[in-house]
Amino acid sequence: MSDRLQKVIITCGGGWATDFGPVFTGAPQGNALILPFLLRADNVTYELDGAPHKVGGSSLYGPRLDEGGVAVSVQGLYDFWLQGTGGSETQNYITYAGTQLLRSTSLSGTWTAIKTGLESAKEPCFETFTARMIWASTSNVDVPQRWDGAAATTSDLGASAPNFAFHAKHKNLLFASGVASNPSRLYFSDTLDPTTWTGGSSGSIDVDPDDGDRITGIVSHKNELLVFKGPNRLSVHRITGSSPTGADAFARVPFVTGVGGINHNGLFRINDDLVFPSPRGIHSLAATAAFGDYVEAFLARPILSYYQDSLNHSVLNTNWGANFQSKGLAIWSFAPSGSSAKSVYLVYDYRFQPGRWASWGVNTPYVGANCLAVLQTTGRKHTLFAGTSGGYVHQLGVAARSIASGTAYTGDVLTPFLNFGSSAMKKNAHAGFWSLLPKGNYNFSFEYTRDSNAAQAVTVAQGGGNTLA
Amino acid sequence: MGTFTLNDPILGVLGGGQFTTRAFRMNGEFRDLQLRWYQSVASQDMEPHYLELFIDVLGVDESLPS
Repeated sequence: MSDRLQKVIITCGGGWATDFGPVFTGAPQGNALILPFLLRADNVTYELDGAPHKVGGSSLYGPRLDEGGVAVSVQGLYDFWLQGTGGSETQNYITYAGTQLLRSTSLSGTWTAIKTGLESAKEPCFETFTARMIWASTSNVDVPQRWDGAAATTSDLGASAPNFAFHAKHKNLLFASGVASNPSRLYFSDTLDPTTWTGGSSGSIDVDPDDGDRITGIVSHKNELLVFKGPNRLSVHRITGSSPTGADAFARVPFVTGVGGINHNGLFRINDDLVFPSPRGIHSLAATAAFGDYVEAFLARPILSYYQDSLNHSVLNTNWGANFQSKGLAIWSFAPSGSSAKSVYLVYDYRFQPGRWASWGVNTPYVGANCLAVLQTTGRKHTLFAGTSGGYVHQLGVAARSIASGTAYTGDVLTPFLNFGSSAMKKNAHAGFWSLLPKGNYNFSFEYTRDSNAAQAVTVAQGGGNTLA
Repeated sequence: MGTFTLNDPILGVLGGGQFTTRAFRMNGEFRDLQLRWYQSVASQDMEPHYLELFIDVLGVDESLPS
């Protein structure tokens, strides 16, 4: 064996990135070559040492949701809790699927309609306020609904309620927007009374009206209401103050122009920050506050070319996001180019600084994600769920690595080309050693490509006492 | 250039503790090397953590790239 033999330990020190090019030219430092990015990290999550791990599979919650024997699209999921006054809380899963709002009591897997006759395929919004589940959608026909957890059906929210599309509680008021006839108007209800929208403390605030945008999302964050506008010029506004009138009256403070939101359901909190997609990328409010619309500060900077070129931007405003906090993941579902079905997950692991991206369903299919939500299971675990356009509700991240307890999917990692410090130097690899956490008595595949040669595949055994078969 | 012979005889099981180390022989020349690992079988998982390669630096390759 040559005395020039060098040992190189290769580890993953970065996530999925499409925009750093196909090659990493770093030389090993102290025998370690830490890869700063991966060209592919599909259907994986990361261990804290950076190792990609095939993401968990899915199991079905309940039967397929049908209307007249035909599968309907699951448009939204919500975890509705009531504390009551008897010391025993109650939980309902809520879904808007097809033309109905349905509930599942005791997480039985059985759905019961609490509202029928809705427009289908609209984008819903859910909130819990004053012991009611309050639902609205982007329908211009269906009016917002409220449900107390006991009645057989929902009720119209209130005769004076505007026909808003999304809403958020803030300062004991229900704020709402997305009214087609007043696209830049922010409404708020009477104090602790979401059924009353005239008189009392109710009112409205016009946010930069007729600026070419509409209000696309609102969220209460750090004692203010953040109002996102889009999808064209893009802007974010702060609503300061604590009441409609008085010494601390509500006031609109422009926050930034050039960054804004594409929709309400993709907007959520992680850590002490807000994250949100726009037509230009995925952003963090804290980074936007520090750097404005500088593209270097975009959360999605490593994958911007994928975001711009490989997603269907005509349905970008139907994306769903969820903070899967128990795993440290911010997750969005999008439709890829050429499709209107949301089958692609962009996954941002914010346990790392900077965060690391991965994808699910980009290179090979994973579970469709027409909508996303974090719901508590019967075991009180906060768990990620997805609703599909084919009528199914999946619990994601289950231990079994198959979809709906049967279908295969592929955890797949591809490094950039590595020249170990020089592409001019010819090298010869003598031996390799994979260190792995065995997951079962079966194999995984290892593939390598030398220069322009065809890739060669090897099967690596995980179980048993011997190595390569 | 030579070819990889990764399915050569087993070198043995190394390591201990949490990770299992799987060894394989390699014998092929390259300037640049790309790696991929994947698991596509239903109900089967994978969690490789790191890869050690033993590389012989042969010298400057003045030939035209293939």
